[in-house]
Amino acid sequence: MDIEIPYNVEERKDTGLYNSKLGIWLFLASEIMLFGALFSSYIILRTGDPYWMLHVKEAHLNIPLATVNTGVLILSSVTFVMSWVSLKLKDLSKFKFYMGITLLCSVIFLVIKYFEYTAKFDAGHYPSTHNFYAVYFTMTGLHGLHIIGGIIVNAYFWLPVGYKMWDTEPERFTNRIEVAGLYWHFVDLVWIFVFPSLYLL
Amino acid sequence: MSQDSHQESFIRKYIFSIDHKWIGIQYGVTSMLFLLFGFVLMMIMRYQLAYNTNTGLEKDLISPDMYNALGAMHGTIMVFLGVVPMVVGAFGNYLVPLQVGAPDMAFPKLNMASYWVYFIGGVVMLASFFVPDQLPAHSGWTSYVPLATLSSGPGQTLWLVGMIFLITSSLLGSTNIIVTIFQLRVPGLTWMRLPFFIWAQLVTSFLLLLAFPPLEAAGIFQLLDRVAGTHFFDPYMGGSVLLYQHLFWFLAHPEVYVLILPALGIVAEVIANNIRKPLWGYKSMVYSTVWLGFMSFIVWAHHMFLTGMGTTMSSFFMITTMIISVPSVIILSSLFLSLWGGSIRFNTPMLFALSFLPMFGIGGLTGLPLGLATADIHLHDTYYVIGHFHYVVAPGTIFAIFAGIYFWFPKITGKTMNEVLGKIHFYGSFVCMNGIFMPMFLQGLTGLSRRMANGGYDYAHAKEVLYLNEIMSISAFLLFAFQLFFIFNFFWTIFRKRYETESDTNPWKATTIEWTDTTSPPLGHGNFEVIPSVYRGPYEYSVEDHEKDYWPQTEE
Amino acid sequence: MSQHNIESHIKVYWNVFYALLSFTVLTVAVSYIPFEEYTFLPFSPIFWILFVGLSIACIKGYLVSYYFMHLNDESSTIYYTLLTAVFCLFVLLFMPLSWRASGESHDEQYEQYVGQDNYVTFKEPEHHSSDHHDEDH
Repeated sequence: MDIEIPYNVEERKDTGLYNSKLGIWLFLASEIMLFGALFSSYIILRTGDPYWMLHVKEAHLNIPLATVNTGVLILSSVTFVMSWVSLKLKDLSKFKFYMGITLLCSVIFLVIKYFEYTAKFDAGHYPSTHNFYAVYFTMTGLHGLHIIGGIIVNAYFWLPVGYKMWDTEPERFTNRIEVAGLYWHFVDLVWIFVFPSLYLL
Repeated sequence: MSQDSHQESFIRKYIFSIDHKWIGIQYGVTSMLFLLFGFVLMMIMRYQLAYNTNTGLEKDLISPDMYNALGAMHGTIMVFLGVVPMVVGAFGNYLVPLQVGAPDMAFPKLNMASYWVYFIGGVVMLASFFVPDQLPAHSGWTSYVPLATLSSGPGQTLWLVGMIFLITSSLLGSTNIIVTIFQLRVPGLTWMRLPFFIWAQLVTSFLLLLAFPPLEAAGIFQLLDRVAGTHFFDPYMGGSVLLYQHLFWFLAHPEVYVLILPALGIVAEVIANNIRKPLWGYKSMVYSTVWLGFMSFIVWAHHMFLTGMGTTMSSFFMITTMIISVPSVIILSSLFLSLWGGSIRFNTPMLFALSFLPMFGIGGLTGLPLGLATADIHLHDTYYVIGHFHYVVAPGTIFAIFAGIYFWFPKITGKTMNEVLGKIHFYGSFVCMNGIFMPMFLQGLTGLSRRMANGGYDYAHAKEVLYLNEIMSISAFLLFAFQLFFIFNFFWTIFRKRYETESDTNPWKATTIEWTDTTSPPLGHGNFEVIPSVYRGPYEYSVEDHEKDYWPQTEE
Repeated sequence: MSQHNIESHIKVYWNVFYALLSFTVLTVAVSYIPFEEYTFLPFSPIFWILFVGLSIACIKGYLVSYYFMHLNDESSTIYYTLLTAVFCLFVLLFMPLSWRASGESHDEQYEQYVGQDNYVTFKEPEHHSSDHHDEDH
């Protein structure tokens, strides 16, 4: 009983887009505003507290570990693009290979995050300790929730339940991967800004 | 896909439907119930203000804390659970695909999700009324910190969680509407041939998409402050109280344009149809709407003139606020000017749409002193503000909603609502609305503050205007009585048989696609038997040398 | 996109990856530069730390959005949507900066009150001896 919605797979001539691509970019526009609000609040809170840097020094943020995390996420981004390219080249097994690496990288990212968080908790630093930690945990936490969401979606496409659409509607499946890729690159983009703002600057 | 008729289960067809028409009806019914509930809360408050203000606490109908709770929940329910779901969720979902010629919204399953997330959000908010011995949220619909962070009980926390659901629902819905308008227009339906209603919905959806996330951030911060002991808004620990207000009003100002733009869209459609001539200045209206959308993001701090943010910031926002009145005036003036030389039909939807114009005019004009920082010093947080915004939303948007319901009822059900009952509903509501809100300007000008449970009886400057409280409250109760005519009319028309005279699928003789190319109600699957093509603009009425006084968009 | 076209893109994607990794290392290295020792530079050291750090982040962001998210050959609809979002983002980010920049201490008219107990000085109403006994509530 599904109605045939036009331009679900093929692109509409005057906009040059298929529906879900416009949809995901609109969603990303709202996410830009969400993380933008977090950054804006970070600026206000940081410039309003003269003792901010004391707490930053006390926090002993693990920069090398976070740098590794950044590298891991960038790797997952390029392997995601490669998985989409594999589908364009009609190679399902290569798609599964690259998507698998993407998933592995995302899990590694979360594991490293887990170690970072537990190190803070063991040192007695909680979000309630000082606004620096509140901002740190909220920003990285919300980012982490977006990573988990991405993992769920990507895992669905990596497993047979997701990629069985390749056999019946390969173009539609490729579009789905492209759209999921846009989301994933956005998550990487956010981290590219979060990492220097919280750890380096 | 096989085309044989499936017997859909009751659940698939009526509860978890992915048909935009049924989802629109779900939104409409749910939001009407919320509007009624919010109205009842307000009547309790108005009873208190008229009769209980100086009888001593033991004789009060409600405690002052409960009065605050009713006030906060009245605002929240009316704005977030009532008006926006109605104008965007109900009218938007039902009409946007039909007016662009689409078989459904771009993402039907997402549409269903957006309704159910809204429903859950509403349930969470209402749940705060049922926690034993605890109040619902009572820190104003604005939930300013530090009052909201420190308020006791789970009410405020439930409010915040409910808001997160409602914001999610908005985001899903607005994405859907934008993609539908961009991607699913039928051939020939170029941007400047779109009905103004569609332009209004498009800009509204962009406002919802881009403005809501900062409130989501503010809600998350406040939730963490309440639940996890963080100090985002705690000045003693390096936080900032004003940060909340900036984030809140960054959404809440575009939010008020979300409340009014779809209403302007509905009014434009009803007026164009009932003057039997094209709208004057369609292009100006479209450009003004887009301009209004952009400007609505840079005026928010006119709600914060009295926070001590400094003269530079105040001047900037005052200037942008004055500028933003220009596009709104252009739109309103175009609608007024359209009436000149028209053959006006005074049916019930047209009466509501016509009355919208001066009512919104009063609301808009009374906003000007509020937008000037110096005058706002006297008027901020007084009843003048309440009068101003209620004029725009109550005899403004809600009248537009009534106009829309009476106008599109024949398309949705195939039956036209009763004119006599409709006119009684209109005249009664019109008089009562003015009876409630006009005196508020007088009260506000004396300096009478808002949100006081005792109505200000112990303030010397309020003494001369206190008598108005009883007049306003009686008007409110009468307003409720007149709504009964509407409610009766609504249900009676739904459940009665269809008359033979109601076989016309285009009783108003309109030109837009939803009227000319669909049955009443439209087909369950895909809306259209044949995908239409569009050949002209949306308001070709009284075209020279044409036999009929209207020329549909899709007729060759 | 044709087969041949895609294959040439693969090289581009991996090059972008290496560039992103290099910029990551660079941004970490730069964060250790002691700008406060370079007094010959105009503007404060904080300005330089922020400027360099955020510029590198912007370059990395540009690479991700332009190449991985294929903004390089995307339709204008997407561009305009993004421009709108970026406009709103700048307004949102501009707000804290203008807030901090327009604080009370920058308003000369308030300078005279800084450090005083009262911002407004009252003038006591004239007392007549006959009012004296009205003062007892």
